[in-house]
Amino acid sequence: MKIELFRREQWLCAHIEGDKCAWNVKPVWASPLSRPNRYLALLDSKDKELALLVNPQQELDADSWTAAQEEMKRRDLTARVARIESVREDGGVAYFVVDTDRGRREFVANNLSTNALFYGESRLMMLDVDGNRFDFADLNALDEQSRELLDGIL
Amino acid sequence: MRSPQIHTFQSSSGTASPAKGEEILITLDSDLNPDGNFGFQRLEISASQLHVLDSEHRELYSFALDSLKSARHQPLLSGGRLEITLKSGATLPVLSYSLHLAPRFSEAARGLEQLIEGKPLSINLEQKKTRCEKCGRLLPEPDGICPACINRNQTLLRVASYLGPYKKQAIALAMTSVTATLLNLAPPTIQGILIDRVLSSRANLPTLWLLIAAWIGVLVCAIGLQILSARLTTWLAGHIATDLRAHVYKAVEHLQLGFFDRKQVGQITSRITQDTDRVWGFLSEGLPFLVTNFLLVVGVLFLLFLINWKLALAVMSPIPLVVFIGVFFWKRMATLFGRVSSRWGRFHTHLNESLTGIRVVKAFAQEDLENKKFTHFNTQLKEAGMVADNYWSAIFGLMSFCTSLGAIINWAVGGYFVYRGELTLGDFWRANAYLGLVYGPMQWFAQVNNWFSRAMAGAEKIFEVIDSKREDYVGGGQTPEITGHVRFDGVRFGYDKSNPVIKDLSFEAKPGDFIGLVGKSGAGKSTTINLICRFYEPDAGRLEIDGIDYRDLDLQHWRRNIGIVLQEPFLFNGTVADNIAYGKPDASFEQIVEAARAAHAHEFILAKSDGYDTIVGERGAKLSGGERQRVSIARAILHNPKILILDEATASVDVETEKQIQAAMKHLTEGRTVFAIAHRLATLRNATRLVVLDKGEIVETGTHAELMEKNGEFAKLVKTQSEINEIIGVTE
Repeated sequence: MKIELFRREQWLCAHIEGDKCAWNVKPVWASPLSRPNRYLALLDSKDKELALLVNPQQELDADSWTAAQEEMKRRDLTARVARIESVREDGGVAYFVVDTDRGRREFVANNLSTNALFYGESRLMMLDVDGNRFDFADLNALDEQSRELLDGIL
Repeated sequence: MRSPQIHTFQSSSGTASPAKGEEILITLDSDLNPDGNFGFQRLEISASQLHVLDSEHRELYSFALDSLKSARHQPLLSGGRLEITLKSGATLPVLSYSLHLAPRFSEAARGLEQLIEGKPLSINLEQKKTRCEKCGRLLPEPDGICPACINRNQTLLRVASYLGPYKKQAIALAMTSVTATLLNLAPPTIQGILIDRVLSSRANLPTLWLLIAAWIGVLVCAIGLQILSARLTTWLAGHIATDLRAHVYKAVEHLQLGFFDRKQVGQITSRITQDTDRVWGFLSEGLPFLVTNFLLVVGVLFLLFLINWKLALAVMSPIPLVVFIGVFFWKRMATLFGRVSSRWGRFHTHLNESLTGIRVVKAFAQEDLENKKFTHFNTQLKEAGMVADNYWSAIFGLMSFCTSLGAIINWAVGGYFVYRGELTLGDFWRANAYLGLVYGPMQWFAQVNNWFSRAMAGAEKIFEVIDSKREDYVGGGQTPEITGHVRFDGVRFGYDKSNPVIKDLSFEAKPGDFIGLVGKSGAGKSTTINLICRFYEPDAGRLEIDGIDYRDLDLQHWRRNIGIVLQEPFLFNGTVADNIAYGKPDASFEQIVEAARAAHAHEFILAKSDGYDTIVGERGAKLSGGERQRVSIARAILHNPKILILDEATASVDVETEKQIQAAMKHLTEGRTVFAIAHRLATLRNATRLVVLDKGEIVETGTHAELMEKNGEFAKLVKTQSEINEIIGVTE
């Protein structure tokens, strides 16, 4: 299926097979943590699926892929953690200070048995007390201090 | 009467917009920059303008409110975005924020719409405190009390308050403990006298026999008191733990359902079992150890100073080191224990889940997978436990070294004093014996401190449950005779306040009405039912019963007037008769049988070998789905409610069973106000009125015939269902 994505004013729009046009298209990863960068679903304004792209980077042309990425960035405020500055654990609650792709942030996570979600061996998604997500995309890529701090509490 | 809405306007009280000089009605700060990075933006809304300012209070953009059609909070991953729709139809993002601020921006969006529509501003922008202002710790619940800022000793005092009913036993325990401790100090003194007066001088033989007799007497008394003290301790600790368990269980029962949404069942049960067990363990063993040994240490130090103050200071010199080790390493120890506890939690949760869902596990032949998961959690638990234990062993070794140091110092300094004739051999022996008494417990004080901390943490967790917000049982305390007139008036509700699932719901059910709630899944049908049962209360608007806001009714009185038949009826492990009489425990057997007959359950019950005494098993597992449902209908009939709720009551049974249940329900619904959710829309054909919901709003109301004629949303649902039924070959 040939799909072109482009931005019209504030919306992401899609041309599908050249004859069908959809506006306010929402690109969402179907399995963002277990299968990163694969299975991109395109939903219309009523959240109905227009298409599911198995390898979006290959299936979309460069401009479409850029437009999709921009739109996903607008809809996803998840912070990607690059380094852990400090972690203090107190009474089952962990107080983090982290450097992320969105800047430095302090957050608090409680009930780590349910709010520290491991995907495979090296990916960790930490949910703070408000439900904000902090993505440790590759635990092995963290510096030694960050890894030690995490090991100390998990 | 209570006010239906809280009117809180967060405004800069008289501050003026830089652009217009108008009074700012809504001010809200975002924690994100325009580029989505963590930072700052400010939203200011006046009666005619919306402004967004940057961190230096420069205007980024503004909109005239008369150019706007609507506003909304758009949920995003890890945050949200305030969006406005212009009258031209274009939708524009205003600013983004993290989830922490989402509920407030959702309210701001509502407020913005009110201003756009020219309505009075009626929103609540109150931000609940989630962190302690004093120490920055996370509060157990919004606006709650910080457990860390409560003195541990206060927690202990609170635990001790459970001694109230057992004052006599507690006083007896204190007296026996003190006396036994003092008696334990006597043998070294006897030994010292014996060495100096008999052994060193090789004289005074009668003194030897006298001292031996005194020693035996002291020993017998001390052991007798210790046994008595231990028995009293066990008795008291057992009673306190039982009272604590009963108290926390009662508290759990009365908690708001939101608490159960936030916590897993395993975690709640662990508070009733593990945490009370910790408190019990500390009370029965730790506290007596702490009290008696504290007294012992004080007594020993006093006696050591009496013997020779220089020797006393010398042998006590390693004590600060022992205390330092205990305190310094404790923090790390607490973290490691916390990790073990967290892994226990995961282990428990998995165990609970796999056992509760054992049928599904077996049905899908996933025993190996579950075993693999179990092994993973088990191994993680083992590893955390081993790290904690290894660390503890190291600390303990260091402690042992310090205590041995005390003995060596005594031999060096005491020996020197004896050599110089400044100390008798008897006094040296007494000092040596006292050291054994004081250093032994000193080694364990740090562990008792750990024990104390864990027990107090457990107690705090228990008190957190006990102190958590309970359902307001009394409310306005009204207990009028209920006729069954139910009125929703502009009701709004969201499990997550920023994302309402019921929006401005208004409809009425008169006594005897049969209201069918219809809609796709997620439309808000079950939430409407939850609100009627007052499992949750509206965030805005009113729900009136016979003209009274139902929050002014006594909660139990209200619920006694409600009967529920669920898709998956929950039966308790007991007899069939007990389950039918659950809502009316004083019902006579004749009434139970009558209810069972009306529910078409009587005959199948009689067919069981134990009839009404048949044990139904955990969750009613020994009965079939249809049997369970008919028992639950009999339970509802006997309960005789004014309001009846049928939540997919026939969805999970076969057609034949459904016929029997439908017949049973005819008896049940007569003369009551009924709210029914049914997947099979045809079963609602005889409803007085159908309320069709979509995304928490009413889209249609009317009778089955009226709505079919209207050919709107309901007709579409019916058509879709007919098509599905045709495909799967079901005939209504």
